[in-house]
Amino acid sequence: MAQVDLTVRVGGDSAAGGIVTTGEIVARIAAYSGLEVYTTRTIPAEIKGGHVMFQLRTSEKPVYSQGDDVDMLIAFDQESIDNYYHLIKANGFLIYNSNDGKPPAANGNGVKQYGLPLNDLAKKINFTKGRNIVTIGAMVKLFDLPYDKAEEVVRRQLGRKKELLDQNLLALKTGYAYVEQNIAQESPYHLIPETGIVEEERLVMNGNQALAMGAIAGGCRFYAGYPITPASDIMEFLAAEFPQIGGTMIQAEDEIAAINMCLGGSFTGARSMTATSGPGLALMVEALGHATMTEIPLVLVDVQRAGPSTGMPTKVSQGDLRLAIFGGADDSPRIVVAPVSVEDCFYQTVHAFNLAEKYQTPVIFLSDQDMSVRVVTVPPFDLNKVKLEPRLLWDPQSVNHGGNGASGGGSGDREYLRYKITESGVSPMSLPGMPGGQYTAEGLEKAESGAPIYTPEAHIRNFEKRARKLANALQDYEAWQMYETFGALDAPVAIVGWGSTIGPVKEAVLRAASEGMHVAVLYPKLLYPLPADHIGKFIAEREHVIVPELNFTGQFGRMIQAQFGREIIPLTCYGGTPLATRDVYAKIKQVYEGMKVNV
Amino acid sequence: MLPEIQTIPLHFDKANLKPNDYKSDVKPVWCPGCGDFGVLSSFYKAVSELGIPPEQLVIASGIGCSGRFPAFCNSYGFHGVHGRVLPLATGIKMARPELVVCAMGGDGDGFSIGMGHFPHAARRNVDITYIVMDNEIYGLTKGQASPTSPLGLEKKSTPYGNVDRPLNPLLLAFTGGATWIGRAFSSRPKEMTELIKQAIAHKGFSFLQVYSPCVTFYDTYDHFKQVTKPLPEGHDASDKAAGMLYAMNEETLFLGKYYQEERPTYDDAYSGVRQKATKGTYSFEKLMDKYRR
Repeated sequence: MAQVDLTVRVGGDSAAGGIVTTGEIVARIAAYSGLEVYTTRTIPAEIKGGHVMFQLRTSEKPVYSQGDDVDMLIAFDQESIDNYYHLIKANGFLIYNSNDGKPPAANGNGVKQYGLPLNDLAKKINFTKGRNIVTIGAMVKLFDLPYDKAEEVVRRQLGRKKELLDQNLLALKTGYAYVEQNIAQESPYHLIPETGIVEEERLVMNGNQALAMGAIAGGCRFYAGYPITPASDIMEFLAAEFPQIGGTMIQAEDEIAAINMCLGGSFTGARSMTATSGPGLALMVEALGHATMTEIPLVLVDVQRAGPSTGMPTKVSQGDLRLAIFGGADDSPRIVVAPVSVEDCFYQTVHAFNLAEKYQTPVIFLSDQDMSVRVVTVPPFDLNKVKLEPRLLWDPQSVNHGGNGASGGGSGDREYLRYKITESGVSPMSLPGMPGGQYTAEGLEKAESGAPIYTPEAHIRNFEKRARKLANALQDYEAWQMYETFGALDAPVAIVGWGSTIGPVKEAVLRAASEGMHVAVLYPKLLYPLPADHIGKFIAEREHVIVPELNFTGQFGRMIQAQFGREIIPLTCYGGTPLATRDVYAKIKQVYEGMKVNV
Repeated sequence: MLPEIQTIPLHFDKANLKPNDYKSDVKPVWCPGCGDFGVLSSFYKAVSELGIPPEQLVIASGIGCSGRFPAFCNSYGFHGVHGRVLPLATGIKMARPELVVCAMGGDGDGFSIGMGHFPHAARRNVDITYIVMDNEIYGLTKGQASPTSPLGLEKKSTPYGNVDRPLNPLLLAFTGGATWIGRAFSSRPKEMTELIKQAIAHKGFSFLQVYSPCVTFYDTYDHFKQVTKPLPEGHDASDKAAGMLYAMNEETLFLGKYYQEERPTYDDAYSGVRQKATKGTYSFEKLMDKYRR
């Protein structure tokens, strides 16, 4: 029996409710049954109403992308049939609500159609809102998933109220029984192989949850944020956790307040973070430059969504790269980190905090909408891999400051130099409460003491200091292996990408390799300072370099072009959807075919 | 195991501190005769009389002539961006509630670009002291009308007279929910020092408006000498309505403590949240268990 690799899409109107719940519950049932899952969704920005799509891909082996075509479509309404029927693979399945939609005429591709009278079934058990759970019951039977696991998930997800739980369990049974009695006594699709599954330890979670847990493990204890899709649930997560661990979570009055609160928190020594999306990042840019200037560590998460302006708040994009790296008045360097997967959101958040603290500088963490809401199976996080880099603190013992801390005394030089010029560029930082360490975190250009000064010498010295600090982050890039490479590393074609496009790239590269078209892949997770040595060496001997990314102008590709003075092949995707494996594959094929012609 | 947070223990040994102990070696850059000099001296005096160790005092500021304040003090300071002194001070206070936190502002910084933060800091009752040096003009940008400039004022940005009605900072503080509200005049240093002391000593969000004239772009010393007078002796500072009535008077500008109430501070409230949230020993493993299949 071939390896199970099933992609299911669920579509319907959000006003009817429960589309995403249906998908998430089925995903969990699959995960709890020992399978690996990878999900994606598109939801309208509106609270009620509008079309919703949820896609689940599941396999006994890890899966890296949402899947291009679907094996099964579950259509709650006619719109879903109309929109997605063409995506069903040959010999796939259509399950539709026979009370609210007509299937297309059979087109000879062997798609099996099963109508479920969902409205009737739900009405029969006096639970009209239970259509989605009836559907889940039907899917459990169709996929031959263990019924006890389905019950367990329904209990865990929907078991808050006893009465409602009983109704939901009845709905589950109703769907299951309907399929058994009317459609297929024997399940048509076996998700669990007959040989069974060697079940690995797994967490079932999305990117924002992994990121928030990374913040907790990374020592973050101060968070201020302002609600914005798709970053809000990071704030909600930490609102529940932080008070339990001595941390502080503030819902600020706006994004500008949020980042300034973080500056204040970090000034006192607390590892601080805010999370937002593109419009919020735009508002925070001034304070970000201030963090660079005052040398205050800070992690700013940007869960990128499709823009510009309000754009498409619930759709994915990687369009904030340029703003993240270059946004700000004058040269205000900051570190930019980009995770590549849900699991990576955890570990790279820890790195982001370590870089911020080590170099006393702001760090932007570029996640994206798709990664943030996507529920997947990940190995449990290994706290042994988490090592915290402390902030370089000033030692109050290092100066003789007299008994009461009034060291300045109104005359003479300050003994403590907050902005001392050092070889590494990092100056020991004092924290409020340390006697003798008093200084003013200064947004003006300054002397080593922090006193404002406008001489060319001071300005030059400080520009160089701030740049020197960041350059050192490249050593951590190597030491902490903040990159991924795979594929045939001696191939004439390379893909250099960033962020969550890595999944479809992985699958496309495997497929291309099986047809003799080999590709070497590099995904740096540190985007600024750009690991130019590493990338440069990686692409030096290649004939072609493809740069996939989810933005219109190919922002990263152009950076590579500018840095290395060579042409690259952009693979841009800017419709608000994740990158499709087939598009990456097609690009690889196109490049290889071009090479043949040239020979 | 979760990483421990780094904390620095604070020592509250009230030493015998003098105003000079709060003076830094940075010389003030204000124009000679600026009202802000008076505020600075009164401030040194107030904090020394309160006996706040300089290393436990944090002074935050925004942009404008007022923004330079922290640099002249031998305390911890944070010269922030324009208009954001209140969120900055809120972050400092909430991360380290033991610290004494003062926010220094001006009328442009606080009531124009930073206006959005004022009611929020007030309603949260963040335990900080917000002192606004109000000169009714933009001084650092050389003399444009500010949100407290009077109607008809002819300045560079209002060559035909200011048509934007001035706002009333005290009333804004009342409606925002500030728990200590007062007004001072930089030419009455004794009263001002006393008010600064009371404002800092108050547990909760204190707002002190100080008329601090700009000698260079809008010299209002004579005007304020004429129109200010102390609040009537019998004024009951717990009477909010009476305080608001005095604040509404536009002919006589009363000086003194308008209002004070006791209400849980933001950090008190958050301590309550922590108590409510904490159930037994926290472990990262348990957090992961919630997501385990």
